[in-house]
Amino acid sequence: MHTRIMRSRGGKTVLATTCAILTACASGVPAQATTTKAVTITFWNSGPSAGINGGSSGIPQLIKDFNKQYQGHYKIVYKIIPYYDETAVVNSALGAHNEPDLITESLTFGSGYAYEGVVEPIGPILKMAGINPATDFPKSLWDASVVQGQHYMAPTNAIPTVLFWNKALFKKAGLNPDVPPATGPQLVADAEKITSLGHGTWGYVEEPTGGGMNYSLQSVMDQYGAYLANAKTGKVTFNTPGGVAAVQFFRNLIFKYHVSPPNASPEEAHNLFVKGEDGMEITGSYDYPTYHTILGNNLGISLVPKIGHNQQDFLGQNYWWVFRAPGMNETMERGIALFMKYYYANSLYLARQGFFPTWLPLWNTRQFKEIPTYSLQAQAVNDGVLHPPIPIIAELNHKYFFPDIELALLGKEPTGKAVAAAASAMQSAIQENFHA
Amino acid sequence: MRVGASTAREPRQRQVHYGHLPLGAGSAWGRRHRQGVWGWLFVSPYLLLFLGFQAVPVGFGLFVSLHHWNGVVGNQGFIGLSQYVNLFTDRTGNAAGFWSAMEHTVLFVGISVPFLWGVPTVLAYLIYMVPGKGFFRGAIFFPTVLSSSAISTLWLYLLATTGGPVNGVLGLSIPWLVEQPEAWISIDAVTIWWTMGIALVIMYASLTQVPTSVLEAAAVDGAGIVRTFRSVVLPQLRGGSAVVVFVSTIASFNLLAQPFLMTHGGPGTSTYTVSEWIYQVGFTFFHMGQASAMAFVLGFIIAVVGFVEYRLIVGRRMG
Repeated sequence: MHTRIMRSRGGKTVLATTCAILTACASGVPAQATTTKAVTITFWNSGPSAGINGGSSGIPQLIKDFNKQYQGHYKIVYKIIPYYDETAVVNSALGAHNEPDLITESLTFGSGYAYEGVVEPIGPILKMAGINPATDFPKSLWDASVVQGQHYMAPTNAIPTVLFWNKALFKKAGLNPDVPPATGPQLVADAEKITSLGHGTWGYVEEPTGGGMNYSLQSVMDQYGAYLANAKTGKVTFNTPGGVAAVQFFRNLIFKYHVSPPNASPEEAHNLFVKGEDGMEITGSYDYPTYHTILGNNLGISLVPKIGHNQQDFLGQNYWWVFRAPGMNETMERGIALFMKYYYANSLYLARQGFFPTWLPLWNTRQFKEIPTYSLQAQAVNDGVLHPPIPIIAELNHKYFFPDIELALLGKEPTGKAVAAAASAMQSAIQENFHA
Repeated sequence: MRVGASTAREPRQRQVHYGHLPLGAGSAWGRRHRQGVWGWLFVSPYLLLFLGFQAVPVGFGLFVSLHHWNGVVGNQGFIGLSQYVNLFTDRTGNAAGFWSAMEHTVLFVGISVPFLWGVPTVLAYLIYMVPGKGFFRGAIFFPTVLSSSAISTLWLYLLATTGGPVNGVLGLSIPWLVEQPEAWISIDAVTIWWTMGIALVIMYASLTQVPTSVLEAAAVDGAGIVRTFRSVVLPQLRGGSAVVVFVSTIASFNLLAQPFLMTHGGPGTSTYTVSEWIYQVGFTFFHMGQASAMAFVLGFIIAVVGFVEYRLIVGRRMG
């Protein structure tokens, strides 16, 4: 086991647990694995959990440790694939019958593979690993990831939506820097006070274009019960008064309350927040390390204010997917099961690297609770809502949902008309491309 | 006697040796055969690369476009030309998206190509006329070596509506990336800034081929810098201009990274380009057959436009 995992007391605890589990599972290592030639398992990964800044910590280190421990039995061959090009890379590999055995990818990208029948049901593999998904994974991540009545995926990490706020600006505006807004009206009131500071300071920045509203708008739509679509019927379900109210809330921030600049360009909310010129931002928790590095103790983080009917937030995530690759057999599945178990058993190590874990047994430990923001993120994960497992619904969002919503947030179309147009475009795209 | 004609004393044909094979030795058939073998050997490296990376993929693309081809599970049956027919008859869904994206792309081509030829041509002439040629050529060429993602990210930051340095200098809040026509102006300007280095090199090289005596004659006749450029230099640059316009047209039709990264296709879908649409249909929606058909239609359109441009600029005589 690598020293970086060994060094911490928590790491030793986890290590001991891992060893105990693995010893108990020893009978699960097949006879073939005791020969000198290790069974090779190819594993592709993209996104922030793939490797920190291209370095060797995080998952690359975990794999190195796994390979050392199972030398001669199993060998994970790891490949980081580019996040922005992952679909092309994986689909090309599938087309060439050269796909990996294991991959981590988000629900919406991966669900297409389930529909096409190129991935294995995950249940038997989890069973081999001794994992009980009902008790070991958050309900929000497990229950919502059913494709055509079957579980094909297991969650690896989660990215809940949160509210970030700048405590220094709150204080400057005469607000209590430790009390973030908990409702829509409170958010507007706080944002108005911060905007009134002048000098290019905004209470809240909403980007109308470029998908910048992804986490914020989706969260508020979920709060209003305006979910994107029904995965079983393939029907778009956000064209409701709740869906219109969610979009209107952000439009009002720009044109009614004037607390958000009009025509904010892509990345502007992020840039203004780190420059200390934006009081609040609703976005994915992945921005926490950057914001904390720049704002330090002036950074506040809380749940998304309850703007709609329920306390909910959009939940980004990644899942394991096991491809029906040529050569996939029970021996390999056992190796994958061992690796999954090893991964989850080392969740604390990964959590300390910044990957929010989906391994529930860790959530109640002291070490987990000591990691800044993780208790709050755990609550946000429990409140989290996933996109429906319709293939690449996130991409459909960008191509068919956002363009019309952009026009509403730019003040060029009435909100209701824009939402209806977006719903119509999304419905056509789902029907034409997936016949859901 | 004609210059260059053989005399009785000269051998009728010299023997040329390549390695151990005397090409001129033996019968005429043998010589031709050996020359043929050597010729094929010399071109074979390129030929292999051409076959492997151009001819075969294009042929395979055509094959795919005639099939219902799922990007994930592969061939699902021959459907002939139906994907081409659908592209021209279906006014909804992916086909409609293709033509909508084509409209945006043609708009971009129409705006960018004249600038991608005109700006480097004028700059090349100015640089040709002034000292410090090396510096100016280097400075203008520099952005060309940057990657598309680097320049797009850079300009995304520079052109931010609020807090962007460009608006900061101007003291304005111009929505460079989120309103029209500002978004297209931004994408065009960035593209011209980024890519004109190559065009500048081509036009500058063409300029150096203009005989000095012609320029001197124009000066003696009292032609100023503008008149000389318009009436003397430009007509001499036809060959270079044809290359620049032709290459710029192809590159502009294939526009992808700048709108993808700077405007994300917005506002609305107004900067969505045909290349991105084809990529999406193929790699995101898994309709590789439909995407291949779209790519061939795009290729055909580019070929027609390029041919017309070339004929208009160079003329039938030079073409």
